[in-house]
Amino acid sequence: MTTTPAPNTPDTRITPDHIPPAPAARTDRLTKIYGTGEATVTALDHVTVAFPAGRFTAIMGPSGSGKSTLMHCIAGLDTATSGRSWIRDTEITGLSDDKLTVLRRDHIGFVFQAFNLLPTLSAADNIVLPLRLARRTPDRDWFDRIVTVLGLGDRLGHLPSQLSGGQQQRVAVARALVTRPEVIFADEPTGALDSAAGADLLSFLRRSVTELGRTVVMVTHDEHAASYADRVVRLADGRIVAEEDQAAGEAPRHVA
Amino acid sequence: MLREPRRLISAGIAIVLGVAFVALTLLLGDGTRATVRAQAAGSVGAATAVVSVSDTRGATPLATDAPEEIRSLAGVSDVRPATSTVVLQQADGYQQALTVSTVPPLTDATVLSAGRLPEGPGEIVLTDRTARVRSVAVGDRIVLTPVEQAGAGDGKPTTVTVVGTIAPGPTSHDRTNAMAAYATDAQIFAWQETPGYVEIMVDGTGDPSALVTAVAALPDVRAGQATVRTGPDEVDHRLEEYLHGSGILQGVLVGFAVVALMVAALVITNTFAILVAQRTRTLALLRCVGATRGQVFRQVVGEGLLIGAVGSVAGLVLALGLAALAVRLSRGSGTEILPFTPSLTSLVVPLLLGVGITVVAALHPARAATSVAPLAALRPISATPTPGGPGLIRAIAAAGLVLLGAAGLVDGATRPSLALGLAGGVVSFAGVLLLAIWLVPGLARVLGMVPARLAGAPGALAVENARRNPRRAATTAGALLIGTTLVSLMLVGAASGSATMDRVLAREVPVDAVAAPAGTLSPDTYERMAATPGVAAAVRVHGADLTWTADTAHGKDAVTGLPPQARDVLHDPSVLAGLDDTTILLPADSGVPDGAPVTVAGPAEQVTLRAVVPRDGSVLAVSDTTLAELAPDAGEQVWFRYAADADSATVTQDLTRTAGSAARIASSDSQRDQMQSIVDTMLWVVLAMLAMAVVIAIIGIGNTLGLSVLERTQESGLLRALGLTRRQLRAMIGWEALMLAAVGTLLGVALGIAYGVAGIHALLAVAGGADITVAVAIPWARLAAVVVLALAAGWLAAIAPARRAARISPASALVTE
Repeated sequence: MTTTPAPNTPDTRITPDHIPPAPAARTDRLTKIYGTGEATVTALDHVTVAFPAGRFTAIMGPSGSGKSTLMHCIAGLDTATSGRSWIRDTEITGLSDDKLTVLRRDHIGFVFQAFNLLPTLSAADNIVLPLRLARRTPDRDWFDRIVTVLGLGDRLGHLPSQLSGGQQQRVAVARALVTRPEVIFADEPTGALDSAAGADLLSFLRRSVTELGRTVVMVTHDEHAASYADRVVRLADGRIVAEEDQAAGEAPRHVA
Repeated sequence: MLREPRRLISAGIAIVLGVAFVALTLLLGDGTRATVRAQAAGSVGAATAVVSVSDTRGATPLATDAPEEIRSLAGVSDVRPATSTVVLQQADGYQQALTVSTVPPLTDATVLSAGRLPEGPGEIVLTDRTARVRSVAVGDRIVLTPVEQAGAGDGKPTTVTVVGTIAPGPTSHDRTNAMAAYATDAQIFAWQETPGYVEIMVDGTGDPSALVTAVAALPDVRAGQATVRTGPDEVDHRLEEYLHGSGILQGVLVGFAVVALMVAALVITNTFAILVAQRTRTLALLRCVGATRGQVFRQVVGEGLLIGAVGSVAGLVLALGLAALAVRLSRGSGTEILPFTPSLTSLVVPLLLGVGITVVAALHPARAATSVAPLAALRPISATPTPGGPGLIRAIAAAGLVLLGAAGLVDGATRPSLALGLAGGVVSFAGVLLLAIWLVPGLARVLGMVPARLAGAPGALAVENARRNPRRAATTAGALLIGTTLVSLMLVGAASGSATMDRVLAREVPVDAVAAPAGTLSPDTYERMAATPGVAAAVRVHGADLTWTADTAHGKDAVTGLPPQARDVLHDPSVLAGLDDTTILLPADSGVPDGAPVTVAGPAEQVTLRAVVPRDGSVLAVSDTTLAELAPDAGEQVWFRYAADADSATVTQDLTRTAGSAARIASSDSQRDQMQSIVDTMLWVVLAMLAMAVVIAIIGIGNTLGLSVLERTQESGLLRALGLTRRQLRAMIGWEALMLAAVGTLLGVALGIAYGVAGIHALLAVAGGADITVAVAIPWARLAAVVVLALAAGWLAAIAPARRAARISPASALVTE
């Protein structure tokens, strides 16, 4: 692993600790209700939360707490029943499906627990897929840099089936980074990995924030995974029960 | 599987269509049989015995006093004689055959539609259909010529008046589709070479077979080539005669139906394979809780049996409905089918075939299902079922079949042998189907450059999706391949057949038109014909039957006397090369070597000439000077060349009008048009049959895509999350369908061209003998239309799966279990 200098994108990177950074994503009384009649389940109950840019935030909570639903609604994968949400300055509640799709493509990165990659495409093709969908040409330097940071240089021509689980997730992280999105959402990204590969992946997410200046929002139920984050938002029964900054996330930044 | 009936719909449709096709073919056979029997029974009526002259050409009719002789026999109560002959109708340069028969008795079924019945010579009535097709009305005068009689040339044209039209019922003499007319017996006798009756119905009392024996013993009956049968025997005989011809047709139809069923079998196999792949988990769970391999196998096969049975019954019901519709629609048309009772065979065979093919198609997937490990239930679903890689043995076998078949094809086309060519075609095609597992993904990669260029990332993804499961892609495209190969083969065969026919006609009729005068042609008529607008040149030539003798061969043939001016009218003046007053032009197949002395004898003289035998020559001619010496009374013809920019149909019409009854005009164009229309009609019938196979294959594409979409739900969700719009996702599925359709169609068209070219060589050479030079014509426009239609249909087949895929919500697709 090479130590690379911080990217020259000061606007999203270091912000003085005493001034809260502008949020990369935020919600206002976001509510999601599944089902009708007696089978109604309130997955999100008036959730108001902000995710600061350039920080690594973990959303924690037990199964059924609504953490995945929250992520899906903020990321424009699912529509909320009521309330509003924004990616940077764009309000996404009420956007048409096409506009929402383009927003996801150009401004949001995703890392899912499993099944992140298209089995028919090589690692390199998987990484640049969002750019191809937008008919944009990949920025060669940025691509090389991501690949170097993630240690994927010699795996680019491989198909997903030829990669280990950890490598597959790293390809997913590379893909999430390649469009320089406003925010990267990671949904239990280490859920299917062994502990060593999981730790590796979390360090990469951490470095994406620290070294590459990205914003990461990670859904997890694993306290150890959450310890890599700058901030933890705790959810229970569709409500936010705690929001805490933590120093643990700072440590790797000093390493870099 | 049965809990998800939607997944079985397209497999079901394939079975229904295939079975319906087979059943309909058999049912219409039943219907035809019943109809012909009814008509034969109707025409024979209550006759106790029937005397009929065989249909073979040249058979002598019964003497005109035969009916009276029969009437005088003991026990005979009535005699109804009938006669019939074929004449040529002159119209616009066409010589169209017309069957003229004794006026039938008018009944409830046989009615006079217009005018009156003929009362004497020079009068005729036509069937309504003939009048309509030939555009003749009551009161019109038409020119009829008796057909060519052995050695005597054509008879004298007669002008007759159409005095009425008749709607013949099934009981009348006309039971075929031929153009028919009715006239008095006296008029018909005048046209016959030997006047007489061709059929005599005898009503009588007492033992029919005794009557038959008595009638057969009469001298007039014995003298003619007549057969005497009892009424019921005659009905059976007529039925047999007719069905001998239609049996071949039905065989061909069943052949097409079998092709449709084969395609259906491929579609069904694919459906079951995909269904099993999708149910890996359920099957594994069954194995976990204790189901044996045998039980899993039996479950899958049992499902095949059930869907096969349901589909086959539905197909049979559909066919019965269509047959009833056909009976209804055919009422009053030229080929009427009377209501009939289906035979047991027509009901049972389609059912057995449908169920059998479905079960056989389910066997392989069922075996695959038994190899699902119980542990598969505990693993997450893998996105793509990994099919076993195609084996080396398969590759070797496939390549061997292709090479062997290709060798057979080439040998069959050059030898020529139709059987060998056919076997080569079937064997090589089987090889291609086996190779499809490599060919289809390979071709998809090559063709994939188009969507990748046109549609960007969705296009490129579609290409990969089409290729990702080679077995599935091969079966899907292979089903379409069968249909498009056969369609292209037929198109190329028909086009090459027509081109070859043109070439043969151009050689046999070496000029644009020929006028055959009735008797001696007056100089005035000749001048007027030569002056007809559009006629560029006209030359009088003579012809006579001459005996020629060489060392190696001899014969008595019609020899043409060609003047030097003949070069002005011949399509190919080079045939005249070497012809002068000392030579004779002989065809290449005459068996006489070039330069050999040939003695030619006519009624007046005998001379020895030197043979000139061009390599592919077909003309038997001497100079007109030589002919005049040998046969001073030689018959005359006028040969015409039309102006290059003239419309030949118009010129022929004008010429015919100018000639009137003085000469009969034969134009090679009209002859060609007539043959062309026959070829075209047959082609369209065949294409309609094959269209069924293509339709089933296209349904197969929709089926494969629909199941792939279900299988790739997560993937679609991921793509949507990453920024693929709904429209792009739909386009991706559409492109995938287009890729499969394009591979199947293009490969099919290429193979069809190859098979068509090989087939036409084998077929025409076998049918026409060695002297036919086959002209290969590739109908590019029609083949392009096949490609476009198949692609459009493929795209249409993708609409439903694409909509389903676009409805997938990214959030729900990505929820991990």
